[in-house]
Amino acid sequence: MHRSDPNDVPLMTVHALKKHFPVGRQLFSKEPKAWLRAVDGVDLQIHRGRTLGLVGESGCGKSTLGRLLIRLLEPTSGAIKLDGEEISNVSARKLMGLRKRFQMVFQDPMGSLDPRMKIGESVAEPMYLNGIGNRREKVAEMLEAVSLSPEIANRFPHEFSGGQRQRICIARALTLEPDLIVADEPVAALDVSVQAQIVNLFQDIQQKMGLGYVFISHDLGVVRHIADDVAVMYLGKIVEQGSVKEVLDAPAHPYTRALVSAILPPRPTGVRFRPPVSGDLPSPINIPKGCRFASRCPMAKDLCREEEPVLRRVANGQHAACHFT
Amino acid sequence: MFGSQFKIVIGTFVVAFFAFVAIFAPLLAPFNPLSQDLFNRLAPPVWAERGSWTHALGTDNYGRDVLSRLIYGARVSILVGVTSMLLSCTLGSLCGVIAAYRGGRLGSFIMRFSDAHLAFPEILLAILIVATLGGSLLNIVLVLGISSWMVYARVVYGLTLSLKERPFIEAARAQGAAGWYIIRRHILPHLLPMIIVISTLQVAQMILTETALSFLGLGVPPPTPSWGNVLAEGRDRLFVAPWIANSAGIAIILVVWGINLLGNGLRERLDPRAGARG
Amino acid sequence: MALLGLQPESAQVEGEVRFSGQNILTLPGDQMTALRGRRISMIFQDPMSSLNPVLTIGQQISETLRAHFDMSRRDAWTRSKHLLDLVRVPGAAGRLQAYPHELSGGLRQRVMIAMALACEPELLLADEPTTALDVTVQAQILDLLLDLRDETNLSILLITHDLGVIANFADRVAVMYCGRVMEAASVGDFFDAPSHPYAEALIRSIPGGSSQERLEAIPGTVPKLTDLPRGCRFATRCLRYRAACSEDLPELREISPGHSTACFRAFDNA
Repeated sequence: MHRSDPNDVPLMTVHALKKHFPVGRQLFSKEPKAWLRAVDGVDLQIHRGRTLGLVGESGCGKSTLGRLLIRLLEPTSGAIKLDGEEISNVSARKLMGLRKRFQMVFQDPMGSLDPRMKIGESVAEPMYLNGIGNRREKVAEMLEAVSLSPEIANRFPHEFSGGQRQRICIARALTLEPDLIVADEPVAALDVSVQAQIVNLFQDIQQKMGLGYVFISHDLGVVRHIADDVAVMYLGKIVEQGSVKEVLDAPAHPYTRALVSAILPPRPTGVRFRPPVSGDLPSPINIPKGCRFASRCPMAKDLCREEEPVLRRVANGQHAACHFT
Repeated sequence: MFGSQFKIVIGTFVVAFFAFVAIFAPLLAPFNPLSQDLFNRLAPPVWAERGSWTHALGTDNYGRDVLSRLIYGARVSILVGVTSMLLSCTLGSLCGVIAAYRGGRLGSFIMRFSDAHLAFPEILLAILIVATLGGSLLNIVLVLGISSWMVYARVVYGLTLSLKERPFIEAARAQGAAGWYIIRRHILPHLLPMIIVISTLQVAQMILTETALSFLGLGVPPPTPSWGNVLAEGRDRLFVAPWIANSAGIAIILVVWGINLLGNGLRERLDPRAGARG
Repeated sequence: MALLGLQPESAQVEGEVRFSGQNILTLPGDQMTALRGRRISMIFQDPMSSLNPVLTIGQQISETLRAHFDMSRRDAWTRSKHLLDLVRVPGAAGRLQAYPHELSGGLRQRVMIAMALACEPELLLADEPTTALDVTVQAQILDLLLDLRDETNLSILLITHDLGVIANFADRVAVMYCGRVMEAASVGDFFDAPSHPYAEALIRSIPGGSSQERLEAIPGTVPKLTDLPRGCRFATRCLRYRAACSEDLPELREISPGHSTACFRAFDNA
C-alpha cells in the first residue's frame, strides 16, 4: 500500500467481514450444533493494478474470503465496498450488473470448464449471461490474449492439458474486462514446468489491462513473485498484512515467521532443514479464546490465551496481530 | 455376455420393427381389427389343422382377425408406453432436479414424498385411480405416468447433488448464472445419458404394466385392441383357442426383450459408472 | 507401482528390478507378497483414501502387524502404540482408538508411515507424501522421515514434483520425463551442474529467489504418453534441440562419476 497514490480510492474495501457456516443440526432445535467461523472479521483493501496475495494454510478461510469478495457467498456480516459503493447487500438484479466487474479463476482447471461445452461456448458464457453481442470475435481476441489459437473454440476441454485449460479459464474471466480478478490457487494443480507460464501470463495481463488481483495461494514462493501486498490468514482472521517486502522479508507475527521459514530453500544448503513449528491447524469450529495461534506459538504467554490481539501497525504499511511485536 | 454394441444393434432392430408395425398398421393389417365375423369364430392359425393364410394367426371369440388386432394393438401399447414414459420422465426429472438444486425443505419434502410413493404398490394405485376416474386411454397414460416418476426423481436427485458441487457450476455462478440457466445449460446435458437409459427401460415396464392392467380389465377399455386386451380375451378360451393368448404373449415378450436389450446396451455405453465417459 | 508389482494385469513391464541383488520382477506371486510390506513398503499422497474409514487406527496397524508376524492381539496392540510413538504422534495410546476422519492430515500421514514401518522394511517408497499437506506440516513430515532414516537405517525412494523437497531432503536425485530418466546425480551435482536441458529448465523455473523478475517458463506442453515422439522425448520443448534429437533416443550415460544423463549435447561436452 505504501507504493500506491494516497489519493487513490481503493478498488475494493472490505470491513469487518464475517462468514459463519452452521455445522450439524440438533434434533429439536433450529439452532445448529456449532458454527464454523471460516472468515471472522477481516479488513482489506484492494487496489487497481496491484496484486494482493492472500496466504494461509488449508482451512484458514482464504478461499471462503475470496468467494465472499466476488459475492459467490453471502457474508454473515460486514461491509464490501466497490469504488466506495456498498455491494454486500445489493439486490440480485444489481449484482448481475456488478458481476461484470469482478471475476474468478479457480484452482482446478480440469473441473471448472463444463466437459460437455465447447471451449468457445465456455469462454462466451459470461458475455451471453450479460447480453453482450459480437461474442465470436471477442472469444477469438481473448484466446489470443492468453496465447491460444482462436481455432480451438470448436474443441472440447478434455483435449487440453491443465495449463492450457487454465489459460482458457483466464480468457473466460477476461471477456467482460473486469476490474478485479480473484484467483484461488490458480497454479497449485499445475505441473511445475507449466506454473511459471501461468504466473507470467497473469503478470502480462495485469500490465496490459491494469486490473487488480487477489491471488490466493499457500505457496509463498509464488506469492512473493506475483504479489505487491500480502495478507496472511490464520483461522479466519488476518494476522499480518503489508507489502511483500515488509511481510516476507521481516515478518512480525510468529505465524508468518513460521510460514516463511517453512519455505524450503530452492537449492541445497548443506544444513539439515528443521520444521519451524509443531502441530497442525486447530479446527475452525471451536476456536479457543485469546490468540488463535497460541496453541502452536513458540512464544505464547498467559496473556495470549486470555486476550485476542488486534491488528496493530508495526512498520510503514505493515500491520500484525500479536501482543509481542 | 453380449457386447454393448451387439445389444444396441439387435435391440434397435427389434424396436424399429415394432415401431414400423405400429406406424403403418392400417397398411399392414389384413382386416379391420374391430370387424366381427361370427360365422368364422375361433378359426385356427395357419400352422394348425384346418388353418389358412386368410387368418394367419386365427380369429378370436367374435371372429376378429388376431393378427390385425395385434398389429393395431402394437399402436395402442407402444403409444401408451411412450407417452406415459414421457409424462413420468418430465415429472420425475423435474422433481429430482428441483429437489437437489433447491434443497432445503422443498427438496426434502419432494424426496420424502417419493419415498412414500415408492412404498405404495403400483397396481393398487392404478386400480384406485381407474376405479374412480374410469378407464380410458388418457386415464391409463396418467396412471402409468404418475405411478413411476419416483424412479427418475431418485436417480436425477443423486446425480444433480454431485453435479451441483462440480467446479464448473461454481464457475458459472461466479459469472452470474443462476437457477434455470444452470440447470438447463450445465446440469441437464450431464443428466441426459442417464435419463435416456432409464426411459428406454421404462417404456418396456410401462408396456408390461399396461398389459397387466388391461388383463385385469382396468386398462384400455375393449373393444380397442391393445395387447393386454387380446391377452385377456384369450384367457377365457385358453384351452379351446390357445393361439390368441399365445400370440399376444409372444408379441409382448419380444418387444419388452428388444427394448430391454437396447436399454442395457445403452446403459453399458452411457452410464458414467460403467467407466466410459462421454 | 511397477516396482512393487501393483500394476494392473494388462500392464507390460520389461527390464529388471534388483533388490539386494535379486531380480524381483521374476519372483513368483507369493514370494513377492512376502517381500512387499515386509522388506519394501510404500506410503501414498493421500493418506485419507489409503486408510480404512471404518476401522480404528489401532485395529489397522495391528492388522498389518499380525498379517506379517505371528503375534497375539495384545502384543500387536502394544507394538502399534510403540510405532505411533516412533512417528511422534502425541498421545499415542489415545489415538489408537481414533478413526481416520478424527485425525488431521498431518497425523494421518504419520499413521500411514507407522503402518509402513510396522515390519521394519529396508526400503520405503514415498509417493508425494507431503503434496496434500500444508507447508508447515510438510516440513514436519519430511523431518520425521529423515529422523527415521537415520534411526533405523532405512532407504527412502521419495517421489515428488517439488524441487525444494529434493534440495533439502534427498541425497541422490533422478529426474524423469515421459517415462524415462533424464538425469541422475547427487543432489549437489544436480543443482550446481545440471547437464540435461530439462533439468536445467526445471531449476531455472523455480520461483523464490528475487521477487518481481520474470520466471523462466519451459515452453510447450508435455507430450501424451500414448503418443510419444520417436527421438528424445523432450526434443519438442528443448532449447538446445538439434536434428539428431528427433531421430534417436539418447540412453542414460555416465558423464562423470555418479552423474548420468540422457542428452546428446551433454555427451559431447563430457
